[in-house]
Amino acid sequence: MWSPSDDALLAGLGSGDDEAAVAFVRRFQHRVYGLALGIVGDAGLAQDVAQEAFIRAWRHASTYDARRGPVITWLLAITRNASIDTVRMRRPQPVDPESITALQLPSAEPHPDALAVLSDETAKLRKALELLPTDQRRAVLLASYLGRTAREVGEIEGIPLGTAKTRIRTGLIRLHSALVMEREA
Amino acid sequence: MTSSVSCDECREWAPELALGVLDGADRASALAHTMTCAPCRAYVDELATTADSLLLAGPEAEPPFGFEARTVALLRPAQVRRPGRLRWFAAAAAVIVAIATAGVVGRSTAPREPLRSASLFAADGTSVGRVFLYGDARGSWCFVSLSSPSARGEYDVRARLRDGRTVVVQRFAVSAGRGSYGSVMSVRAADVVEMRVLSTAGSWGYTADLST
Repeated sequence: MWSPSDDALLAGLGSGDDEAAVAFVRRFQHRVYGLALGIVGDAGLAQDVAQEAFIRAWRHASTYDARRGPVITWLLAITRNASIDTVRMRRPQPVDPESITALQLPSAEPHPDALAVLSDETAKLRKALELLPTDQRRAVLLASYLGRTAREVGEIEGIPLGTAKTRIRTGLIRLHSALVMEREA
Repeated sequence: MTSSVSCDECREWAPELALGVLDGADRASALAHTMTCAPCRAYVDELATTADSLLLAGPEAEPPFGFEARTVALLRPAQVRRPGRLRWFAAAAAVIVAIATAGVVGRSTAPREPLRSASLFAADGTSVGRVFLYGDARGSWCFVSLSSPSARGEYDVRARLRDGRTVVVQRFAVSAGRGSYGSVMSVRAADVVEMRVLSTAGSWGYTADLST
């Protein structure tokens, strides 16, 4: 059965097409809500954040640039930013970064093409993350998912600023190298 | 190359820049360098792609019953509601009260315009804060809050009006990555269709759409 691409759905959402809006929300709601829940750690807040993320995506659909990555990555970045806004306002104690990616990944709305790519990419990412030393993985996840600066990572982990910067830097570069090697293999 | 930052320094900062967590002054320096150095820009872009893709490793979860229908209902121009807006209204109300009690305006029973607010967005769609406008027959006020880390420095607050004119409302300073500002405006709040908060360095800015 033919199914519109993510790009086509986003274009339809941005142009005010109701059917595209329904399909867009249906396709991505499990990922958007799941990420929001993982970051804010509260079902009610996560619902607010997920709705805010969809509103931002709708309002800024025209700014999406396919050259910079797939729609899902763009949408999850919006969700992460909306979640961080909420966490900074309402939850001074961050959730444990390891717990975010440790949550299970249930199969959601079936979209065979997207899920095949997503599962493959997700598996590679998780494998690359698991290969990082724990301290580097925590530092990268604190920065990536929770928007914590090196100074904040240092405070949370009880380490000097320079050490926090090194963990973030080394962790992300290792992760990047691992993913590049995986793609080229 | 005109940037005072070396490629080595920029590459040292690149992972934090790619993750969006580099602090204000360093962030501004690194961005300025990448504007003039294509290899460093490409390096940051590569790391940013990896940083963004990290989110794919995040969890999925079943939303509450009815989430889809409620969300779709919000994606229509006349029905946009901002979840969690109460906290912002409380913040704006506090500033308005502060302005009033500071003697900028007197007690008034004049008709009031509704409090209007909108998110401030950076060019990449990231929400960085919020703008509030309020007015009655005696005057109009605006309140700007930058809640996400922003480069330190001075920012001009500009209002674009229905007739196409743009007026500078005020200048304010951001320190420690955040800042807020409230002031009387020389134009009617009801005439404002867009607010812009622009760095006086001229290289970046944020926009809030108040046209609806």
